Amino acid sequence: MLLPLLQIAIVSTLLVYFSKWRNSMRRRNVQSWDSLLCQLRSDWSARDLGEQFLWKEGLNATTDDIWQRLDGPRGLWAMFQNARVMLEMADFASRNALPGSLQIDPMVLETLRSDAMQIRLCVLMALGQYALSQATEGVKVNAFRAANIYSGMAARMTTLLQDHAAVVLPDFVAAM
Amino acid sequence: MNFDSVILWVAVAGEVLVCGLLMKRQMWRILPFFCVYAVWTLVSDLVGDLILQKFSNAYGIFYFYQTIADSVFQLAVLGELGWSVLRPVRQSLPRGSRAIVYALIALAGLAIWPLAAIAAPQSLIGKTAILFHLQETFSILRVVCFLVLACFSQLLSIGWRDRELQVATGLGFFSIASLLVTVLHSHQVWSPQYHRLEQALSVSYVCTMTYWAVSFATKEQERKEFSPQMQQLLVLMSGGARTGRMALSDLPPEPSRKRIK
Repeated sequence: MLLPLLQIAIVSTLLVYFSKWRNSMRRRNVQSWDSLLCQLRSDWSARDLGEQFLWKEGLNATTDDIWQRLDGPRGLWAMFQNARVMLEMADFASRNALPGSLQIDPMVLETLRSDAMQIRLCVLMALGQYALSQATEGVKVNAFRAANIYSGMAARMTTLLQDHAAVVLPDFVAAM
Repeated sequence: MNFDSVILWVAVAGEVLVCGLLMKRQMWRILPFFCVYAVWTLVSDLVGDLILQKFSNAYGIFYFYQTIADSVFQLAVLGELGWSVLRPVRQSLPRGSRAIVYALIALAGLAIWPLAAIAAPQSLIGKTAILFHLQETFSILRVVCFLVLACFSQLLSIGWRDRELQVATGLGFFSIASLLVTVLHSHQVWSPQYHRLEQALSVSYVCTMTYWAVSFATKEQERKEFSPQMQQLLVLMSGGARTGRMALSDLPPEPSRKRIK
């Protein structure tokens, strides 16, 4: 009697997970650009990653230093979530760009997706390793790689805002 | 007209509507296998009913081969959905990735086949046992595929287009319903209860058809504003890739190398 109940419970759990996943995907397809920007994590700052974070690409520190500056898994998780927002921005662009003059170069979206996915993969690997063996060298290397790509993307975004939307730059710098 | 006939004709009406809407929305461009599968289910249901009415003795054989063909179509549709989810990252995937996706699904099916045999009731023999085994394998395979696709797209934050999401929602719901019915079947002997569960599964199929008909009848949401500033933001975030590409395209063609004697 126990086995059928267990099987039904598993299938019901799958149904709940599936419906939640479906709703989140649907929400993702209808969200606005502003709501996307609002989803960038503002409760964690990556400005400690480097002396010239947001103004210069690349990190000039050791893997140990970066691990400490990231605040361990907390910083990794924030980067993971912000990378998701960046991926959703790329999706928004490919979904809503008008065919014709305003069409975005697919290479641009490809690069953005590639960077954001690399961040997510590095963070996932680092978090997985961290869960098994705490902060080993492998964890720190993956965290460094994620932070390096992340700082590059953030620096490019800062340059853009400085050139085109200086009014919102202080808010962005404060958020990052 | 009994309840089974009512369900059959409502399902056929739903299939006609879905096929018509698929043609109207030109969905064969993005999901060709799914469109072929939709036409196949309509034709096989009509032919099956005709055989049941005129040559009822041959219906068992027809149902057996129809289930096998149906399973092959499902495999193709699952592969198609998996491949369409990978659309945003296709350019960075190696050649032959599409074949790998199909091969992985087929391998998963092969791995599930012996596991499904464990849960099959011992009272079944011959073609009925093979049929049950096949249905159980594909019920599990569909749910496993959807689970992997959902987890994968959530972890890597890969988006689904509206139409693909609608197809996946309908198929996913029906897959879970059929898995639930299969689980319940494996714990019972032949009885009227068996038939009721089959009727419940048919009702879930009608619900799926209704969902698809409503979804495909609705136009895709209109484009939102995407200003040049937003575009600029993305271009800069994506870094020098574009600049590098443009610089490469601006380079003069490489002079042909002279053969050194």
